[in-house]
Amino acid sequence: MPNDPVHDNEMETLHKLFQDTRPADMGVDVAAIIARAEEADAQSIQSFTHGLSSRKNSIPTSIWSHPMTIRSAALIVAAVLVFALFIFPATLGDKIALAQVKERIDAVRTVQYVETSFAEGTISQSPNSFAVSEPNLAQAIERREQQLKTADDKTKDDLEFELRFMRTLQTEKAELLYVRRVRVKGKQLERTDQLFPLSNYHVVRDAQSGLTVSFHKDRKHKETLTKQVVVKNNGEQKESAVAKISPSVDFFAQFTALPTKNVEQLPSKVINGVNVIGLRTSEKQAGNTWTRTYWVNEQTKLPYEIWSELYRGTQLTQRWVIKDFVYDAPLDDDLFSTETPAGYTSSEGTIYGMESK
Amino acid sequence: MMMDQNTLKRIRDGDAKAFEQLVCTYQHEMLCIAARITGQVADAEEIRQLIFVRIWQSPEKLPHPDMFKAWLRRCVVNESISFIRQQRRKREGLLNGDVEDQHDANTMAEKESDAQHLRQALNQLEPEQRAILSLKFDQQMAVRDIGLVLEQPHTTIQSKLERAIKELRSLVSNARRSRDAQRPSPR
Repeated sequence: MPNDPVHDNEMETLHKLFQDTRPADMGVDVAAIIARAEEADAQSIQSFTHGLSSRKNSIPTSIWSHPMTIRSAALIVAAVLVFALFIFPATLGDKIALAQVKERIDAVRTVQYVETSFAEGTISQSPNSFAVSEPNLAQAIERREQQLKTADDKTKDDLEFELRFMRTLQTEKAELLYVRRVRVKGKQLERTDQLFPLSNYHVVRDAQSGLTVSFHKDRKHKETLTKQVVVKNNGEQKESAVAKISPSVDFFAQFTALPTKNVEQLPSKVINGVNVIGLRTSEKQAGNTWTRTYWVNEQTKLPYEIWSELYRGTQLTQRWVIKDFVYDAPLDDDLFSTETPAGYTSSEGTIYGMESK
Repeated sequence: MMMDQNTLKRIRDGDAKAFEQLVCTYQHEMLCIAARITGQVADAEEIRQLIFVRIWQSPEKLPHPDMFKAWLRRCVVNESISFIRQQRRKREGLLNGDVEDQHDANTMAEKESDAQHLRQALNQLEPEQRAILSLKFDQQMAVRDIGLVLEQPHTTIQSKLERAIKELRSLVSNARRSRDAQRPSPR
């Protein structure tokens, strides 16, 4: 076709037609964009059980606490409520009773896991889900490899853990959205470190006091959530001090609320040499379907991996994998410190949430 | 111009100047693509602003600089197509709205300009065809690069492009013939 003079002429004509008819453009007012973004931040919503991710108030959220706008907040909060409907039949067949799992989790003193979220299909079209490109993961790994060279022993352990996990992600074909490392001590203290795409902050939450503090390494800044704004269904906003929501952090709270029906038991299988049994729930909500699969270690009766999937219609759009569970390993209190580190500035922040019924 | 690592990093750090640089670099291109797809400059301006707002709100989601341009174009195309679908849904069942649109279209046809003919013709194509044509003729992109933006094989893009050109040529010719037929013949 390149040698086709008629075709070339036609392409030229079309090109000229497009160039001659480009729309007039007055340009963009950058200040107006920033103002609009900040206004949108003020109106965005999320469940009060979790932190909000905005530019000024960046808090890693999880599958249980997801950054969202008003529209998606309604969906996710509904899904969280539905989450209360999942796992618990009277028995778990011949091998594991869910009551045993619940009992075992209740006895856990510390838990650590890594949560990863992947975009599937059309997620990049979602208003709240700009996809993250794969090279960023390579950079994140490279950054850690550099840090490892000069790290002290304590930091070295963390970096090696992160590297080990992130290298396994490189074989994933799906688009990676985020990776978070979560550590929970007792039933009240939770620390979330953002590993990817940015790895420059962590958040400590104390479920008992309701304290949520984020630490930004790059900016050497600490932010404490002190205010909450409830956006009511009629759009009216009500500001108050941050409320204490749950007596325990997400991980324990979710298992405590597990119901006892509508659970499908899957055939047992082996993951990384560990015999696990699967328990799957599926819930429809506003045209979306959430499926969650709990792979429970047959021996310990504790979750080994948790897979969650969100379908819009029949299209899988996003999935989460929670794995690398470590139970009852000692965790230093310093990890959960909310004190202001030397050299850090500090400020107060606001969290936005929707009215609960 | 390509976004460099430093500029994107500054945007992530909340540097408004760096953000302004990004806006200035891409604003015209974004408007052009969105306007071709939606057919309305006002809609295109809104889509463009929405995307800039999201970038400012969630800079951590920006891709690697090497992929930034393709990513941004993909955002514009996806958002514009999504916008059109929403508009179509809104129009379903709104007969009055359709009548008004038709009236506007007729009025525009009488204005006899290439821009209007092109816009009319593009509006009769599928949104994805409009996107491909805009990327090809407005942005002068190679087929392979369009494939990267739309996440489709370049062979698929090539055949879609050829089909879109064929349909566009036919539609523009019809519009011109219609215009010429309405003109008084020189005697």
